[in-house]
Amino acid sequence: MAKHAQAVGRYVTIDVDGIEYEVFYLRNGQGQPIVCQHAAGCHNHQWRGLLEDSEITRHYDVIAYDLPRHGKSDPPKNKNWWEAEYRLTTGHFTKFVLRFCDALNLEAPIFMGSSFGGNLALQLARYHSDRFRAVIALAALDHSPGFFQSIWRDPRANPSHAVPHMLWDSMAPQSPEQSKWQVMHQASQGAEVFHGDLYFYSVDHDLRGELDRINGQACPVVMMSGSYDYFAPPHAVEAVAKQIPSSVFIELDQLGHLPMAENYPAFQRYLSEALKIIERKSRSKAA
Amino acid sequence: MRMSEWAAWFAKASDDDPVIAARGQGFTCSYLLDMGSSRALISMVEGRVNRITPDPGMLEPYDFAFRASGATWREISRAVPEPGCQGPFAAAATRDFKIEGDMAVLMRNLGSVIRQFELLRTSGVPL
Repeated sequence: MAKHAQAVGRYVTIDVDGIEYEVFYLRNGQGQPIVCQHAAGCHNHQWRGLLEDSEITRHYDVIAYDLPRHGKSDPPKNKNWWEAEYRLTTGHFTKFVLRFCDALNLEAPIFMGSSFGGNLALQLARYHSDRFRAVIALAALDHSPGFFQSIWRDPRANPSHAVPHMLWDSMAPQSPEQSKWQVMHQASQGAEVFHGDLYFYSVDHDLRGELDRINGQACPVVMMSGSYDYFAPPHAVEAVAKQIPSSVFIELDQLGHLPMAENYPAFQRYLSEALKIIERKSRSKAA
Repeated sequence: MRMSEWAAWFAKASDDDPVIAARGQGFTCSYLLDMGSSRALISMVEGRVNRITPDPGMLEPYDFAFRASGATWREISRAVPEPGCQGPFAAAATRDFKIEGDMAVLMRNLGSVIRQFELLRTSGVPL
């Protein structure tokens, strides 16, 4: 008998600033929705471990989309996108997530993002705290300068090779080889958009001076950083978390920049802890 | 381990490595490991070690160089390195580790170079 995964994939068409996207997402579970954003240049397979984790999906409706231009979500359907340089802006990225949640009729989802998705989680908490029950920001900082570099689209550097191997360095030595090579394989498919993604990650995203204005009571913020993450190391992420009212910081021992993908079993216990924290905060908010 | 012993071990480990054999067919470049009191110039041709030159002269050409203190290299070469020493970019971000030279050459060979870095966890460094 064939062995099928529980997650089911669908496409949904949404409009963001007049741009039409057919967005692919994987979904499994029931209860409180969790919307998951992958890392730059990657796609939703980074969340496969979570999508198939019955301990989580028993109580949570896990939804992991491919950002347009990534994975199975194609570039705009109604624009000559090939005639303009791709640069992901904070405004467009934010609106995309809001329109995606609208399209699926999600009420107060938890948003969880990794790396540039973690940075977006902080943007959502700052400017759209009324739309989300909470955010979980993995490897996020208020500002991540220095990575928007021409080397990522330099043909002499072979970006489809360089991009995934740059990520290799950010994962923990203890993470399983099988998982790390899957991350590499997935990231090698996104080299075309990595540079444009980093425009958001490293240039347009800037919450310096804004962190203490995040309403952590209305939208609890849980931040996590892996001990081997050099993009967003624990001491830097903790310093950001301390500036956000009521936020919680969790250090992920023996994990790196992409914890949900490089070693899901090790990440799961930290995620469970984060979800319990959010449940407690939600209950006390309601009381 | 003395430099000559280390160079022989490193060359064999690299040439026997299944990942470099499978994925490093175009791995042709030269790079310097500057470990403070010890230096080695690694020359690669089509995924195989062409030559390892101990303590190369100042006019020996190379494409890129990795420079760090002996303490950092010793940490990089531990079986399980501490956070920040798991690879060249991690070390450059967190330690006294410098990456110099032609970044495009490094980047297009990055997978095999990182693999060779990880071989140091078994071979140690000649310091």
